[in-house]
Amino acid sequence: MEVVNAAILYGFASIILMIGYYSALRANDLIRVLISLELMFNAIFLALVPLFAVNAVVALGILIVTILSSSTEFMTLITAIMAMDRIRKSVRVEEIKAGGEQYVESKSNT
Amino acid sequence: MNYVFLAMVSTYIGALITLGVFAVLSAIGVTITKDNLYAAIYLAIATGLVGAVYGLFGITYGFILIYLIFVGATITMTIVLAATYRRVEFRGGVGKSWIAPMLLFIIAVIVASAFTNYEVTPVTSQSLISFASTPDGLLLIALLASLLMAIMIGLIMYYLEVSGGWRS
Repeated sequence: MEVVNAAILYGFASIILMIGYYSALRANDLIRVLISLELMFNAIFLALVPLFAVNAVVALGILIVTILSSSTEFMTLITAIMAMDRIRKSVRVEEIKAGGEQYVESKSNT
Repeated sequence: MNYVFLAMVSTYIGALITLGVFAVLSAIGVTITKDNLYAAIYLAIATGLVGAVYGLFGITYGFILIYLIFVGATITMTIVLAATYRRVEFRGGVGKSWIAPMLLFIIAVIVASAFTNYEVTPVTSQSLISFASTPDGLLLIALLASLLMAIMIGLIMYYLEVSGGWRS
């Protein structure tokens, strides 16, 4: 039986995770932030593979919880993006401000 | 020299490195592309390659969950959303100097996990074929595929309603 060192999986997972972080930090609109978050979940799925060699049932449970939490987070973000698009007519990151600030002018999305 | 190196790398490790390298390249594509739709498509490619790692290790239920639920539903919705808000973005956010701590993190993770010498044994690749040949497995795949089609039809209708027609 062939054996794979888990450092390969963890290395690729950390690279994808950091690319996702960088993409989210550099993003200018909320859609790109959403895509970067999904990329980070990819890294989590990749880091979960070695756990299947230890306890497959627990690992599958964690995988299901991860997929469900990612879907929930995804729907919450979509709702937030649509609400922001309806109110501010824009999905730019700069439009997000702390609560209570007065909104001056609306910027077009196109 | 290359042949010696290729002979040293086993089949599983070679396949794993190939999938990982292409997944990382797709992730870089998400970062460097300017169009949101292409970023979502690169994300779908990266997710498919991560799901292929599950298939390579013989984790059948993980493979099916990722392909049918994550790629099929979540990533499809991301693509439709990116097609709705498709525009060429101009860059903002933090500076490029943030790459340095991220590189440090990657190096630290690789060095730490290499020294722990934690080894994973892949299951035989026959498990996927045996799963798809049982009636229960086929029923699960059929149910998930029908759920997928319902989600995709809803998304297409949403896109047509929002955009008023297919863009070229």
